[in-house]
Amino acid sequence: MTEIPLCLGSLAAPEFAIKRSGIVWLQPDGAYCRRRQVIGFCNISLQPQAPDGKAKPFAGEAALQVALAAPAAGRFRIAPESSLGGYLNFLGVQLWEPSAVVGFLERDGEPGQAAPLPLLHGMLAGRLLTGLADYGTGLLPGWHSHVRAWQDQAETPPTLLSLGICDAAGPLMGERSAFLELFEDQLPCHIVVVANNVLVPSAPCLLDQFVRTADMYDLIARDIAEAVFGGPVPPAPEDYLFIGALLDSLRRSPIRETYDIITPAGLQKSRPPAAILLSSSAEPLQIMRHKQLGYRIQLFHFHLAAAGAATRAWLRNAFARESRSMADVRRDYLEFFSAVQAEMDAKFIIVNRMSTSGRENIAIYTPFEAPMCQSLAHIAAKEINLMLHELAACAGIEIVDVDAIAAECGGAQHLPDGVHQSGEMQGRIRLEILSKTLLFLKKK
Amino acid sequence: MLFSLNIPKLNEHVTSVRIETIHAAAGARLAVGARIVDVSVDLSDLYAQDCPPISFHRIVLREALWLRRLLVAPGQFVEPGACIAILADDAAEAPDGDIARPVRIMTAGITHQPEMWIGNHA
Repeated sequence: MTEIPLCLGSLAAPEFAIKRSGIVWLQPDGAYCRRRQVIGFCNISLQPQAPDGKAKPFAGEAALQVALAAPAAGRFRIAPESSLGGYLNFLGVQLWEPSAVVGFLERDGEPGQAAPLPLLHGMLAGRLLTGLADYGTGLLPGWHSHVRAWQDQAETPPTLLSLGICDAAGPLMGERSAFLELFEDQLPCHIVVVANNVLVPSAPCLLDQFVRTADMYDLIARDIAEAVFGGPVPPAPEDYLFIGALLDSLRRSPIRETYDIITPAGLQKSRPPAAILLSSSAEPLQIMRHKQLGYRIQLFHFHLAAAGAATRAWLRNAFARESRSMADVRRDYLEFFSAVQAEMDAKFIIVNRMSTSGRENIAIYTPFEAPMCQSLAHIAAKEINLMLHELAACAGIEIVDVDAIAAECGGAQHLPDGVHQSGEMQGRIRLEILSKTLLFLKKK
Repeated sequence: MLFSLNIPKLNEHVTSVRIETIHAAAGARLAVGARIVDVSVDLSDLYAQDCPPISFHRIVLREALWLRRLLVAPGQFVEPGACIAILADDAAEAPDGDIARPVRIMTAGITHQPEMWIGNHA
């Protein structure tokens, strides 16, 4: 039996002291681990070495974590005192020492101890929607406006930006909502997943967000303050929380943002997204347009339950509902692609919809209003899927074919509501998203 | 002859459905293809998440009958298999007798409709 010490390994951020918490082990002592399997994680923070040194990086990203993966397969042993427990597994109480041994791997071989192997690193970061959303222990805990993942082996990894809803974000984030499956598959890019807090990421909303100036945002924010907080209905705490989350979505376009990443060459800024992932399930056939200011929003009906009475009154009075035909959805997609691609070389990948159900038995269509796509979910799905193929032909988008994957896996079992997939199906979709992204990168 | 309208098992994982909209009134003569109710299925019973897995379904008659009694109201939760209405082939038949069989129905997945319970009630 050969014992291999597992050390923390280097994190390249030479101008900063890296502080870390004790390690939270995800595998028990004695567990057999696969190569690249994430076995633990810790929180880190970067402190400038000199008092007049650079500003603290990862501004606004309260969650910065390193997922630690096994560099080889073997039986995992925990080093004494590597996990301090309690708050000490949460707070940055230790310096990151690359040579610090925190565990061991036992493998078949000559008796004795081999040279230490560094643990593999999966980097995780997240921006809290508010500093008041106190986060506890765990992987990427708290209420985030975005979360990110990358591995520190690749030089300036290209960015895949997910603006999708659960059917796109879920496969990327995986079973523990922390990208662990992607780390095990060797993540080829820097992934940013933007949470759809309140605002549904449909093409018109994303376009408005992308072209909105600071002055336009100020106008919107002032109007909302007057209408919701100065209106006839007294605002409740729910109104402040809901409107705060909405304003955060209206204020910035994630497409324009750049992010700090630790790479082998040191701390760098990410490049603009090489690929942008969208969900066709986020495209409604009705959208809300502000009667005076003209901007568009789309909210999930179930999110409205979190809004207070003042917000609901404002939404009822200040917005007009506009129907969207499939042609409108197509036009909105093309306008959005065109605006983004005028500024950056980003490609679009769109998750299509499951368009059949074994549980449905329609013998006549008279009980459903025309056009059928406005009332029958699977006709709407078929029409949007067809339109995506037209977009692939004319605008060069890539389609993640959830419709086909659901049919292969068994939709009733693996995609019961058409959006939320099983783990097996998420794995297949994850592979498809990554292969589409890599295809774009090769073409570049 | 009396017929029961039972909530079908709309999905492998469903344990309850919510009545969203009632389209038919007790006493009405319903033709083949008449809408009776729209219902929703929320699979997040165990865990309240910010994007609940909710789907909507319409239940439609497959045979012409009289709706004699409605047993549910919008917003109410019922289990698959539960009887939500009594129908009859004779307008005068009292709805308290023995049920001959479940009524034949069609079901379809539909999009969220503005008049539904969800979206209008917190």
